[in-house]
Amino acid sequence: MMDKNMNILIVDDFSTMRRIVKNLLNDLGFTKTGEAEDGNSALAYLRSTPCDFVVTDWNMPGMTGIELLKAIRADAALAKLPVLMVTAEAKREQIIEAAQAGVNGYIIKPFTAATLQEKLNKIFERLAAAA
Amino acid sequence: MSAVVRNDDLVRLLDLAVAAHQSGDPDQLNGALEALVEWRSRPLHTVLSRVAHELSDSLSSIALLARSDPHLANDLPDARSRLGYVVEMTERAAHRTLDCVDNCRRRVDNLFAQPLPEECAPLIAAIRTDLSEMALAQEYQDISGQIIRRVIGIVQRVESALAELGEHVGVSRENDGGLAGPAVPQVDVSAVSQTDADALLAGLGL
Repeated sequence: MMDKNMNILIVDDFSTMRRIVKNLLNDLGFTKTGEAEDGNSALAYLRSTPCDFVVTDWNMPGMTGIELLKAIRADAALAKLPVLMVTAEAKREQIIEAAQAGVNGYIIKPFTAATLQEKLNKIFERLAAAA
Repeated sequence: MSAVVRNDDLVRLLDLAVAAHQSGDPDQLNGALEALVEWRSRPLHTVLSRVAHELSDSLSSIALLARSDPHLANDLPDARSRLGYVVEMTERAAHRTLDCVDNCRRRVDNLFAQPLPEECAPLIAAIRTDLSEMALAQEYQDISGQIIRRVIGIVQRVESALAELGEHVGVSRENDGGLAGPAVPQVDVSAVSQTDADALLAGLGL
């Protein structure tokens, strides 16, 4: 099962959404969270702070979520980090692009707490099965 | 190749017309002019001239619109700033709601920690669930903010296109005398605060 002590990085350019995701994660028992407002600051955070899970938006100024995902997969030290995308981008091609780039889960905004919980469970079940 | 032939035709027809005019022969002149008219009504030429006409008409109606509403070009940067302000305002409101939700959650957690009558537990749990829903409902701010930013981008592009056209039309900035609506900081520099308004009213003996 999921380790409630894991460190989670929340990446979104809207501070309200970072806060909402953080609140939802807290509700689910995850209290160790960090925040970044775009891909660049997220990468800097990930390279300096131990992190077990990333929740990222797609459409952000600076480095987008998909670019962040690709950068994570291309970095040997970060490549295995699970990434959940939480985004308003709901086009089929985009979901496919994210999947091809190695995303672990994809949530379309607006979303519910139940969806977040379900996707988290699924991601960690799959990771446990693969380990 | 065919264009060269057509141009040669035109030169020949014009030469004929000039010669007819110079010789003072009306029949020959009419014939030459008719040949010119026929040349002019060739299909390609007709289509091109229609396109040119439509283009010219469109340009004049846009120019007319810009002239009848001289604020159009000036209103667009204003509209962008106002939309940007809406994003800011909803962000502040969402944070305020989230602050209150956080406070209430702490209070609910404190209540839970105390010895309470048994029937209170489901009630408190229900309040906590609703608080989470209220927090989640604030995601409208992110969604609406993204949509508004998109519209700001569209307005920006229209603005650039109109600015180019404005060079031909000559748009001036004037006061339209209408109501300004809610004041937007940095946009409505002439807008005053409540304190300013009170001072102004006091100065008027009110």
